Amino acid sequence: MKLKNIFSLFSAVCVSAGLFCGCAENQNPLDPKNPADITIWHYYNGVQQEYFDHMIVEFNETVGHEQGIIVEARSKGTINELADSVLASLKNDVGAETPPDIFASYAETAYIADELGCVVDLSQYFTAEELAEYVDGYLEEGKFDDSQQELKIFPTAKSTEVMMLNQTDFQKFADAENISETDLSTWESLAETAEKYYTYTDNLTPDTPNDGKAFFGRDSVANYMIVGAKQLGMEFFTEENGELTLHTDEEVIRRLWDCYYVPYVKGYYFAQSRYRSDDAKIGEIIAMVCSSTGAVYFPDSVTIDDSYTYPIDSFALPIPNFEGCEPYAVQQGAGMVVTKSDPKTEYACSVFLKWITEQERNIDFAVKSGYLPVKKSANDFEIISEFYENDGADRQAMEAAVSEVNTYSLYSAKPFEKSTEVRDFLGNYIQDTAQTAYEKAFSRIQGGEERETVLEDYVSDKAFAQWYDDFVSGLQSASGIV
Amino acid sequence: MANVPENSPDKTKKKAKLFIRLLFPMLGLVLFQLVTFFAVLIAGGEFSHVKEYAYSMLLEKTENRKNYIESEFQSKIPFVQEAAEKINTLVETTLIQKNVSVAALQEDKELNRKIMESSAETLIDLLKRSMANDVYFILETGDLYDDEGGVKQAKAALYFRDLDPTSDSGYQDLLMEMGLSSISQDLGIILDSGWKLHFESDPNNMENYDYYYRTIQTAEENSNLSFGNLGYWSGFSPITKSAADSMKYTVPLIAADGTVYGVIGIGLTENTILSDMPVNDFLNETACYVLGRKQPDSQAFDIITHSGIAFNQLVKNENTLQTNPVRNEGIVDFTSNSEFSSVGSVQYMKLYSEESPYYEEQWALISVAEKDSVLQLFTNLIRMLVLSAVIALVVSTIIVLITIKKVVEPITKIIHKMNSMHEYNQIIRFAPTNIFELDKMTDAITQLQINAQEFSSQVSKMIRIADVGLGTFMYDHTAETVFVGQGLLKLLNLPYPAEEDIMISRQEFIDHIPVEKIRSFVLEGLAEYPENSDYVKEFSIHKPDGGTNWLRLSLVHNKNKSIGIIQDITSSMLEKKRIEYERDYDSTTGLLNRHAYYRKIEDLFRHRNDLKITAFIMLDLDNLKYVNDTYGHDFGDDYIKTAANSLKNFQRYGGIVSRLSGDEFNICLTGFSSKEEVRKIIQEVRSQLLNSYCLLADGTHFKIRASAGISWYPDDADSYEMLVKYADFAMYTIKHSTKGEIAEFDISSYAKDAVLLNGVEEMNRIIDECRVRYAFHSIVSAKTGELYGYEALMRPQSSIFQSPLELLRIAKTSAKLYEIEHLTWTKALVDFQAQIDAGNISPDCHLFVNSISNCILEDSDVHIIEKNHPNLLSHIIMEILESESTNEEYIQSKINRMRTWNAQVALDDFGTGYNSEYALITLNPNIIKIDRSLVSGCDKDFSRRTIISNLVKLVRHKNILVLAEGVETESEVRTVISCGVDLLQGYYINRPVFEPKPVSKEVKETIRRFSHS
Repeated sequence: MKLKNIFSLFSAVCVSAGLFCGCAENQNPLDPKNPADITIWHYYNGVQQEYFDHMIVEFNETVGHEQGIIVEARSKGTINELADSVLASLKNDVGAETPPDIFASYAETAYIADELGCVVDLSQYFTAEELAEYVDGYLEEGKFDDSQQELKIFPTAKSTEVMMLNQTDFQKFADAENISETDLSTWESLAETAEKYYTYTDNLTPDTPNDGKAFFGRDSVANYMIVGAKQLGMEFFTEENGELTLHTDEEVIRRLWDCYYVPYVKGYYFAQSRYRSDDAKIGEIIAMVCSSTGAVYFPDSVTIDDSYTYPIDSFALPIPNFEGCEPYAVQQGAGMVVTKSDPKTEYACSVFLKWITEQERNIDFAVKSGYLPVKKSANDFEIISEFYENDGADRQAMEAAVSEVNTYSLYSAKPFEKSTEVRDFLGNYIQDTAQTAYEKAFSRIQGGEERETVLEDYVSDKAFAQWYDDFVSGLQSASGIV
Repeated sequence: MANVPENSPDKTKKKAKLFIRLLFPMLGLVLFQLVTFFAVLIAGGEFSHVKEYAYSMLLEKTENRKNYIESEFQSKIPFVQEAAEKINTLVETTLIQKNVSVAALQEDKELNRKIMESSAETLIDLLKRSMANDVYFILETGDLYDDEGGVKQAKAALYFRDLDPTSDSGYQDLLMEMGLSSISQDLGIILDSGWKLHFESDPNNMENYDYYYRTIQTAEENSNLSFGNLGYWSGFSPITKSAADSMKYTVPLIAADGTVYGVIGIGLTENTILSDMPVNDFLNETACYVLGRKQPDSQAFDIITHSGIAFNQLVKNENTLQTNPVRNEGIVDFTSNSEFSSVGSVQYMKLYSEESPYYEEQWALISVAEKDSVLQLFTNLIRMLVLSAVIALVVSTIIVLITIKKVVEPITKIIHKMNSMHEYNQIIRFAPTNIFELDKMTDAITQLQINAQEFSSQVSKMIRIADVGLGTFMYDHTAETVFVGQGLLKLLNLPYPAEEDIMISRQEFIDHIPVEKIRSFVLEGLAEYPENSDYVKEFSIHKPDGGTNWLRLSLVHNKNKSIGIIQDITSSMLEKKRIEYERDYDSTTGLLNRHAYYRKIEDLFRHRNDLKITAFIMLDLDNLKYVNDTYGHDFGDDYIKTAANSLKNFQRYGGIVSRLSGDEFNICLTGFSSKEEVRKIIQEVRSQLLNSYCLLADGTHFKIRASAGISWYPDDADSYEMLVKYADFAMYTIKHSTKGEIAEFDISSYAKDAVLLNGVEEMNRIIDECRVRYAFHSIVSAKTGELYGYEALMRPQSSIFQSPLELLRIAKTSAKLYEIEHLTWTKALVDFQAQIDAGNISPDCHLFVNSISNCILEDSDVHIIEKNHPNLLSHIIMEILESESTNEEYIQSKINRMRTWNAQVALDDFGTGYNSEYALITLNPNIIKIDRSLVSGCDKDFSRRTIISNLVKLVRHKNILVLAEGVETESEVRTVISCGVDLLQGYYINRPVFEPKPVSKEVKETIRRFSHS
């Protein structure tokens, strides 16, 4: 009896100790002495990367150090290179790197990765209350199948597009030509204003004809096409019962063509550097549409001909809409996708994602990077504005972006298999054809031909018809859908 | 059974003792093990090893990390130098093509643009290969660009940044921080948000541009050195307002003519540096790394960068880190205003060659760790050891306690169970404890009880069967219960079935005791508890049938119990009474014997007040000897009994009557108020006595005659010894005078008798001083008249003792008979020998020695006699006197001794003595001496003559000589000779004298004549 009692006491101690261990294991698999290593691949550069890296250092030294998480972040340079690397690694291509635990991704890439069965459903790591704090639209993008409720993309930093202006130079033009901000509110009026600016600048040098300057340029022409089409009542691709249908409404395409291709060929719009902010820095354009994150690159001075620099003021406006249409703005910015690994690492990823989206930190990052906060409560400019030290382009852009979030419809196309190709095509085709047409026309005008005549060759209905046919067939081949 | 006191104070004490006796040794063992364990660890120095290990780990960690960073830094230098050479060549070539000197760089913007454009790819190549974040190329263009846009101190420059050098993304992830936008557009490189056209320095913060100006200046000052030795590591400095700071390695560009015309270098952002010194080196410590540059002539370091939030705790965000001198094993501690005490290691990095002008600048990687956290391993070890020790102790204690409890509890239960038992005949059955020994013990206890009960019931049965009348009970004072044995039930006839023992209450028990006497004694006995340990009472009760029962009640008190035994001692009591009676009473007369009498007298004299007038009467029967001799002892006994019966009449008056010896009686009459009253009684009894008689064989009525003496208390003496003596004296006085009378003690006559007064003293003197002489009385042959021998007669040489009889009498009362006997045997022989020696006595003569019959000499004294008188022994004839008080054993022994001496034995006073015939047969003497009372007057008395001649005839055939004593006349001589006697003694022949003379011729002649006739 004696032995039995001692034995049962001993067993009880062991079992309870084991239970405690077991509980702890379930609650938190992390061990500070044996930290979980997390690799994050992103596409941030410049300011965003600096701040993102800064946050990671802070995380590693605080929460990560306490809980046992080491985050290592790597920039893959561009969103496309990131996507390629991720997919290559997930497919385990020859020479590919080990897949990251988290990667920044647009819906298109996340969709493909999910098809490969590599994406973690993050809803299991968040309570319903926690998820309810995030902007619904941002979460929606991460749910590929509404019925499943599985969260595949976690919103960390979102962006939309805003219009930035070189206030200093615009003001001179506006004063001279009696132009107001409302003239910048629609794509149609923007094109007209740009024409006026061309004429205005051409007239500044009476000795030199046809040397007018472009007024406007925009990043991500694909957004223009996709959001514009949506605004005009058309989505290029719709899905019904798993069937994708391609839409190429000629009228809609024509309006898109009219408001970008035509002014571009005429020299009213311009795109030379990788981003329009660089074009603005060297004085090629004075207005641009860019991602809210790109606004931080909007210059505070303009350097002309690599020899003359002058300071400028800037201001931001909401993105223009098509005349007579509901306001729409793109919702973009990559979310974070967690790849399947082991419970400990996945849990560590969720800890990091929660940490990085804590309101204050999220706003701080947003303010410094130009991204929009992802929590509902943070999308209040009064709160956000307190994080700014002074009134610069970034602050103006944020104000415009937040107002868009609150008054515009935000749109992003549903991903499908060929989303990336389609997107590339939509952006590149109109831009490349416009650039080519512009260069040809510019060359002929420089060669002494009549400007109006020359331009008519490129912007006529005939030209459009030809362009449209090529567009449709190009789009069909890019999407694989006839 | 169950005699363990309940709730007794020492019960718990004993329990505690067992507990403690088990607890302390077991715990002691555990403690000893723990102490030994720690002692071995401490003695073995394990603790200090662990401590040293913790420090050396920190040291090693820091050194490894330093080596890594150092090699990271050093690895970039060759790339920079290689690029510098390329750029230099490029510039030289360009200058030669343009046919201008170095000075043209400060004048020709187009030249500068060309140089910049053509060197961009080299720079980007350097950026990629060196895995740096920054690469820059700055030309010393003087003030060529100063005026443009109002910028001062602007220089032509190219500055690229790659925030993630590990990823190879072509130019897409590069940013241009400085330089011509045309170059960026050509290369497709983004302008950073803080992009500037030129390198511009802010005059207010010139230290931020140290990397450029100091490199230029130092190179100019050390023109003798190659550019490879002029590379300069600077701390973090800003680039543009938006781009993060970087630390830089800058190499001067030196033209062939020695002109320093610009710099080329690389930069590393803080993130890159920090990724090289990860905080996770310190998983166990609260620690940080500090990259520092030593201040000249000081132990302080300028902090370049640091990793870890621990920095905020330990260094408090200061710009300098103050180290203290190396403590031990390369471990330093730091002076800071942090509340934590920190230790660490300073590891200097080798960034410059010895030729370098910057050689004196020492960079170091410093680890700063909270001391407690470094020693965490140590403290954890201690904590774990202490914890495990505590756990071991607690667990051991619990196990010990459980174990002891498991052992002690069953024992306690057993004790409780045993204590709770009151039913005497209940067998305690114990629940099994599952402890082998305890179960064996309880089995044994149970068996013991069964045995005891069986034994007890057997004993009860045996007592009952034996019918010894024994009853037992046990009274429990605590429980007030009484255990009553079967025997007692029967003995007291209690109203219970007597087949088995019972347990009843006290009241029930007391109430049921049938006899009041028993009940009161039981209560009395119990009442003595607990003062007296034992109580014994013997008492008699009257049986219903009229007889008497003797009972003994014994009570033994033991603790809180009294064990009682009631025993029927009737038979033993009667036996005892009988023995007492036989002891105290004379069997012949039924009177008290001497001892009992004196005991009673002693008892009386213990209560002198009750004595009042007391008389002591000593009575001596007359004529007993005569009756005995004449009619035999049976009639003698009758004579005594008759007298005794008369004397018993004194008992009616409370007199104590005893027979002291043969014919002596003592009577004590006590408690009277006057002598007259007593005398009246004495007179009355005396008259009865004198009227009584006994019927003798010849039918005659033989009257009882006695002499008596009386002494009075308190008139004559206070002590009964004296009173008895006085009564004796008075009796002897009258006996020697008138006989048959009663005399009262008269102190005046007693005083006159000096013999008796001083006898003892005189006797002692005689004995001590041997003051006796022996006279020799001739014994002659009745045939020839010749001498046969002499009888030695004692003559005390004293004025007090005239006769030896008086001396003997005193000696007898003083128990000095032995001394007298001894005196006789020594002195008589000595005197006899002296007479032989003197020629007065012939050596052939026999010597008659009177021996005291109830005395026998010790062997040692005999040996002395044998030794002193060897020649005399065979001539000795021992005379013995037969009486009722002789000790036959002694006599036989003495006769045997005579036989060994070849001596002879003579029987004295034959014919008058006590049982003469019997003595003749048993003693087998050689000679019999016919008593003088028979011889005297025998010539005139027929009966005497007949007795003498019958005696002679009786012994003739036995070859026994017959001696006639006390012949005084010629006629008597003739008569005895005619009766046939063999030897003669008496005054007719001669008188006893000290110096004998020969027998006269006339006597001889007469004897011869008579014998022949």
